[in-house]
Amino acid sequence: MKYWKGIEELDNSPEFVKNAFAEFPDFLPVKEGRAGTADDASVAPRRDFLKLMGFSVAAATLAACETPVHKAIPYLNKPEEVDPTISNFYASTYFTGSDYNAVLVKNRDGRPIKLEGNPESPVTRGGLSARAQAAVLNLYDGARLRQFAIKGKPVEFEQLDAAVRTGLASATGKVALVSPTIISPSTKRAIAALTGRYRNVEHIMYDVNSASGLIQANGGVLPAYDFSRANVIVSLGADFLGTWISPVEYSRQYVTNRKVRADNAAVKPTMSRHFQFETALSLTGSNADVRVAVKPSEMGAIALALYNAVTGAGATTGLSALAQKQVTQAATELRNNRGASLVVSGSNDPAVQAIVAATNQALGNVGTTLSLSAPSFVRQGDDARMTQFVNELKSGAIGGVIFYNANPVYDHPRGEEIKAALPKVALSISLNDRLDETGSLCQYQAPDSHWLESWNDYEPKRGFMSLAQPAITPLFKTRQAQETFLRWAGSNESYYNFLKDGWRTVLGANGGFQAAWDKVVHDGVANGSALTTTPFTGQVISVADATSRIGSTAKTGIEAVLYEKVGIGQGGVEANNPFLHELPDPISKATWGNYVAVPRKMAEAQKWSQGDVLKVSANGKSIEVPVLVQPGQAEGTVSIAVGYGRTKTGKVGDSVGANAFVLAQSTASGTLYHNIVTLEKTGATNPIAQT
Amino acid sequence: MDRHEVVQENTLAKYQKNPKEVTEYELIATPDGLEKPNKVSLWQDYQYNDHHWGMAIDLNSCIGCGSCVIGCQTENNIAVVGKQQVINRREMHWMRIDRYYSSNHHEDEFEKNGKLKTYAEMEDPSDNPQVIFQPMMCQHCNHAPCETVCPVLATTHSSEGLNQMTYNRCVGTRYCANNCPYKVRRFNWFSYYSNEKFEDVNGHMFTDLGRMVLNPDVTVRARGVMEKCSMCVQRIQLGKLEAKKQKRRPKDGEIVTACAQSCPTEAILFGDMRDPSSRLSQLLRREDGERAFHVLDSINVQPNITYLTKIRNGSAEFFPAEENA
Repeated sequence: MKYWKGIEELDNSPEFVKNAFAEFPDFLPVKEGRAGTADDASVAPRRDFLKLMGFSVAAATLAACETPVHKAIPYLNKPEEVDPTISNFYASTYFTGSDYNAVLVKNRDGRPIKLEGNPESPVTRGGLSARAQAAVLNLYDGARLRQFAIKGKPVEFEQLDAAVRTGLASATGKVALVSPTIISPSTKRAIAALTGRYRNVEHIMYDVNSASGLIQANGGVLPAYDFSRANVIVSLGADFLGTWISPVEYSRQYVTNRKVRADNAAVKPTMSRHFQFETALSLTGSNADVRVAVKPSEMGAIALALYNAVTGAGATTGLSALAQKQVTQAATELRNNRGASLVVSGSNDPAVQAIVAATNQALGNVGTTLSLSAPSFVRQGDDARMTQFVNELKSGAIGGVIFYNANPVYDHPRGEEIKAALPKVALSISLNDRLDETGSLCQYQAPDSHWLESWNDYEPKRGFMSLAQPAITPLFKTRQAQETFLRWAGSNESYYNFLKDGWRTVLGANGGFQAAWDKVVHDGVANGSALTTTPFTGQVISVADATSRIGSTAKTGIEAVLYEKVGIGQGGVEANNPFLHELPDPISKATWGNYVAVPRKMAEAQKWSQGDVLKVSANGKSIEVPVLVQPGQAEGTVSIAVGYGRTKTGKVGDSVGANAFVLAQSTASGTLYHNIVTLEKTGATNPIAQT
Repeated sequence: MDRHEVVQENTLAKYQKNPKEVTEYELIATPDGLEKPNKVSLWQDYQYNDHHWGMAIDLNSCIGCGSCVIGCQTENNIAVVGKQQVINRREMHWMRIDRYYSSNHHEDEFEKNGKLKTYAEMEDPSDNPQVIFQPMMCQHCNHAPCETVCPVLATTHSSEGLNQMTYNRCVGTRYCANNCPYKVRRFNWFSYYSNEKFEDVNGHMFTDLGRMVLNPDVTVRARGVMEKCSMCVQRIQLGKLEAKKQKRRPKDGEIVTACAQSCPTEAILFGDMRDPSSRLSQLLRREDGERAFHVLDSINVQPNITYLTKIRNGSAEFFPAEENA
């Protein structure tokens, strides 16, 4: 017997079959606009509506009968530890050049479906940042490259390897391998194998959220901080709970001193005291006990005033009365907590960082709340070297470039210059996972596998190592970059063996290696060290020198600070992740796109209201972003998030917001993420989606 | 203008002096004088014989980073809705972090300047406000207002204290969302997994490749149903099953919700309130009358989620709000 609901179904006309799969008939619009704004043409007559609904119901019923049959094939030999519908957890590591997290990968029927914090890790102790949580989605990103290619033509691994080896051997001039910070000892060895074979290859690291000023001021190392041992914390614009250097690690440390309980009458509950001097209201500032809104140009003077107040080296002038009062208060409390306090600064100016380093030195904090002997490795980028690279690229001194997860065309302040110079380079290779702004300008595409498909090791801090293991075989015909480097260096060793050999020195080469190795693979973390700091060649800036440099930075005009969002960050792989776009900013609660945050007084004076699009100009470049009125924003300043305005990241992230990296200053001493800007109303409006 | 019933904070100095005075508890008038709201009720209480799941959220530890929001989203296959739908207030996050601004410079002005003037001034936000974060999700009320209004029994109370949604019973009246005092219920306005309007933002639910990320333990909800925090019931069931296979009770700390697992600062503690030795029970006993409070306690919905008052270490004496204004 046959049941049918209408003539269309009975006839089974081609048009019916076509429409049967659509949930909504496409001529029945689902109205988007607010009530009253829709024009009559978009409103279907009621009779049509009923007719169409009747059709849809019949169509949907029929469509349901035609579900294609998927075959499930049982295992011929079932892997011992894999049971259908039972999840397994594998230890691994997330590091994307910004925050480091030891993770456990929840693997269900062979697919990684969730990341959780690894409680075994002494660094992140089971915590996981929002960005790391969302990273599992990046594995299944449809915008990833699916095979190796030469000039857009798909090729096999071997063909590309042979072509690159020839190219490297015959390259004239320098070949630059540009990457973000690498904290993997084995990756560094693989790169060393490559640079060892081709003497003209030089490895350049640069960080989008650079700490090169901090590194320079501390004699070439990035100090490791311990906020849990600090009773008084003074932060000069460092968003250490949100985005600065190692936020997950710092959050846990910070909070150990903030949890209170009153069940022991003998011990009074205590808490650390946290002073924050900053421009934009950051996640860290919103948690501070005392927050003072200051301009970025005042930051140097505040660091200096704090140093002088701590050491008793005389008063500093030029601060507002409020800032002066708070600095004095902070200095008093710092002095009362010698060896148990901490001053940090988010500035990338080596002079400011030199003053901060001297303050910590004067307070006896070195060796207690901050360590220089067991430093952190998560930022190693050298801004000056990168600037030199851009100049060399423009002058034609560079014969070849290799980009390894680096996208300077988008995220370097001089990206446009790189974009113009790249096509002229004889050999250009990209190992980026997609055809992004930089990769699309390269001749060779050798996409790196996702970290969930790869072996790797990491050393975020001296003495703390962790491992990443593949949780799935590569989804596409990609190869992990380290193996690619080994092939180009002429080695046929697998990266797994290469990495495991390296760990013999970490774990000790004696008989028990296999057992120790198995434990590391199981736990994901281990104690040991394999990274060395690069010998520091520069000169540590003296306090007197720094003072004179800070003295000459007074500015007029509206100052803009560029900051990172907790979700999107630097706009790397995160930029095509819809979870992070829709994660409301902790403070402004805005989703999907960036904006220029202005203080209320400025908005009132200029007659800007929320959603008005402004043209923000600096360096002769400009971007257009809507206004958001932000309480807590310092007077005379605005702030704009970086990481938006991608053009070649994928469907989700393309043309969401505007690229604020163009407003950063690229100076001789490093990239500065603040600038003097001019703001101009364009007349357009762009609503901000706040939750 | 008071938010004391919703979010509470106090200073360390006061806490050191007397921890019993840092939290304000609403009392309601009865014939026998002022009483705690839960002393007067028309409702019958549930009997929990086996487990009574609950959570405690320490507002002192919560830094507002949003890790839990994303942890919840990946665990529970929550759809991404895109910019326009966020503007239409239709985001689907089961867990959100409420952020309140505040400033304390109106504290004693009621007497000095009069109420009307002070209220008018309060409309004018402070230039450098204090900020407080409050993670907000389904409170799993024991006297849940949403449960009583559902005409089809799609939202019911479990024998373990969970307020649970049965998606295939839901007909989408949205009465429950209307009646929820915490506004944590989310309605599915569209088929986010197949409606082409959402292909750009929610694309991972459209392709075989992207769908690999979905958690098979949690339904992808269809258009026209209400959804909300389930307290990760799939994780609870898994934990109970594992324990049962080993012929024992679930151990404290063995079962954690996705939000509690992801929290970098351990602000969220999940546990069994029926088990007197669980960390949660110990914490609630310790903080009872001190920092523990329920949001909107006076309406007596008796949530299973308890918050702990935020303690600040900044004294009003040098908090800069006044001078900056």
